[in-house]
Amino acid sequence: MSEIVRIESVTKQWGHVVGVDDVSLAVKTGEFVTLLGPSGCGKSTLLRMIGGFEDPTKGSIWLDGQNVTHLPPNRRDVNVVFQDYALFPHMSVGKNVGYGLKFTDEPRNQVATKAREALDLVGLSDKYDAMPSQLSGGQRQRVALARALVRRPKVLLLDEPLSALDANLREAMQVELRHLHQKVGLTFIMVTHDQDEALAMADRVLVMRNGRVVQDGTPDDLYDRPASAYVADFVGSTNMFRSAVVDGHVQLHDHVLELPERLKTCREGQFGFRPEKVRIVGSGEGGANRITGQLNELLYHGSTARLVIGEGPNAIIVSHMLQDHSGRSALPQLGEDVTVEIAADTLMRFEPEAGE
Amino acid sequence: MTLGTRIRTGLVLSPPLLWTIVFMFVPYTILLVYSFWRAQFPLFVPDFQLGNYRTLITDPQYLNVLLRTLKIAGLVSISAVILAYPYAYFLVFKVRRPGVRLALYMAVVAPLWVSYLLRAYTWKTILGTQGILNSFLISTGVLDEPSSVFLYNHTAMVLTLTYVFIPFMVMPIYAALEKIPPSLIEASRDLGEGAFATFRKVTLPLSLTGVIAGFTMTFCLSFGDFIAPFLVGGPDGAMVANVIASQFGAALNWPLGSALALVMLVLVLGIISVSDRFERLGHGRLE
Repeated sequence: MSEIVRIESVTKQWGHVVGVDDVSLAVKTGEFVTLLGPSGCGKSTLLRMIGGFEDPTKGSIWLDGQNVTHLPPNRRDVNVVFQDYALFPHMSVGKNVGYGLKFTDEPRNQVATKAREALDLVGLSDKYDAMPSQLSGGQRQRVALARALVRRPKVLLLDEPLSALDANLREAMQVELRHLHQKVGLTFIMVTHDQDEALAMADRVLVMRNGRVVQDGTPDDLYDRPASAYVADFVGSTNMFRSAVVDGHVQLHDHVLELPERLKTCREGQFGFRPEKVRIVGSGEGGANRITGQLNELLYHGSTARLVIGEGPNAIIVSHMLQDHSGRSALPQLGEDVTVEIAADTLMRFEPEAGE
Repeated sequence: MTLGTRIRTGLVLSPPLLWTIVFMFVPYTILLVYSFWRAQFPLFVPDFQLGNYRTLITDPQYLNVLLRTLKIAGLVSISAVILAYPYAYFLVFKVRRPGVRLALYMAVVAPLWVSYLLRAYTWKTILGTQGILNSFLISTGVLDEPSSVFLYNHTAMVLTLTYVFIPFMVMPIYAALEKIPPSLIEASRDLGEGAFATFRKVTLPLSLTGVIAGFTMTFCLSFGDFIAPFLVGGPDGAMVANVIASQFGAALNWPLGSALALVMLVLVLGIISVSDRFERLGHGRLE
């Protein structure tokens, strides 16, 4: 696959405030890339620079081999799905979708045909004459998608496209966006602060923090092999602890845990494990990497339950999958002693970060 | 409703209701009744006839005044919109710092706190033979002696009224422009349109409600103005309000004055209802 977007050490500053700090990135044709990070991490600014709404302070942006760094948005072959959808309220859905086609060399009657096709693609062909104010949030979202896709841009930029939708609709749209991406075969770059969304939808996720990319990898890289404690904490949740390494073992509060072979020889540092990788075993059973503690809190979510074992800084969070029809009754009671196993190969180690 | 809430509702509503009846409904009714009376100098005779209205239509001087008033009000509204729109646009889209924006906005709005008479009178002192404009032109050598062409004509009236009423144009346009989400303008650029096409297809249509509101206010306020023609209008500068005033004063023909006042009221209400319909059409778009 060829490269469609190349970002070369791009920096964006407003006075002394650094929005994006020396980011480089190459996106291949047809890839679905997500920029993930908390608000203010620079992900939206980076997207806006690709779209042409912000001028980079330093660096260059290339689109399909052309330097577009300082080109205005109307002269770039990219389109944006805005967070608030940005549908023109004074135009019908059809006119909204056809808006971008007016100035290409398509004849007029073809504009309407193309707009209908695009609406068909998102399942809204019957809303051609409706006004945006008559549509639901999910429908507006689809119109915004159709309007951006109808121009067949080289890259589709999505700025938090699902954040304004409610939870159920969001999940359905995740699936739909994924399908759409496969169907149209365009390159998608999406910005989100929602880790679930990033993991579920993207081929590749870039985690950003303070204007920099802190990890660039596939969703399972991010989840199973987070590059830093920050990523481990931001993508999913993690039980963290610091410990020295003695004989290939670490100490988690007053328990000794065995490290996997790959970590046996490392120095002291920060270690962590995922709450959902912890297994509840029969109480009192001994064995390697088993910890017994009092159950102090229990949050029942239906398909899973979240258990807090131990107290204060020593607490371990366990996410327990409820299988079969055992339901809530199979869970230990509050105050009971619970034994859990933290398998050696679920342990992760992180290099201490600069400034920590 | 129980008796108690009825009494309470009545107590709350009665002062404004009373106000409306005593100061709006009753005077308009008197005006209406008077408009059918006959004037027999120096008395007014109760009657029910349309002679006053007939006079207004047949005597060209009244029609002329009405047309002149419409022309002046139209010119004032047009020049106000030409000045106010770019100004409001500049404030909303070009001025980045909120403090500067507020200061420039207040610069337009603040004169509203100064007496209207004073603001209109200012132009008399600017345009008069002893005025600032003349002394400037003489000191720069453009003129040898003071000219009287600046004052007492229609241009002076349009200038004065535009100056006096321009805040009513700037305010609604500013509000309408400010309400447009920036993402709409970005979306238009993103979809391939340049800055001018974006203005024409997105910004202008979405700010039209503000223009209509401003136009209506400026037009109606100028239409009923009495001071500017009096101060800077000169001999053939009389507008409808001045003629009405003279019918109730020197001319001592209250019936004719009442008829003219009612015609003016109907015209203004007509303009307001038309513009209201336009505005309603535009609303619901930016929700």
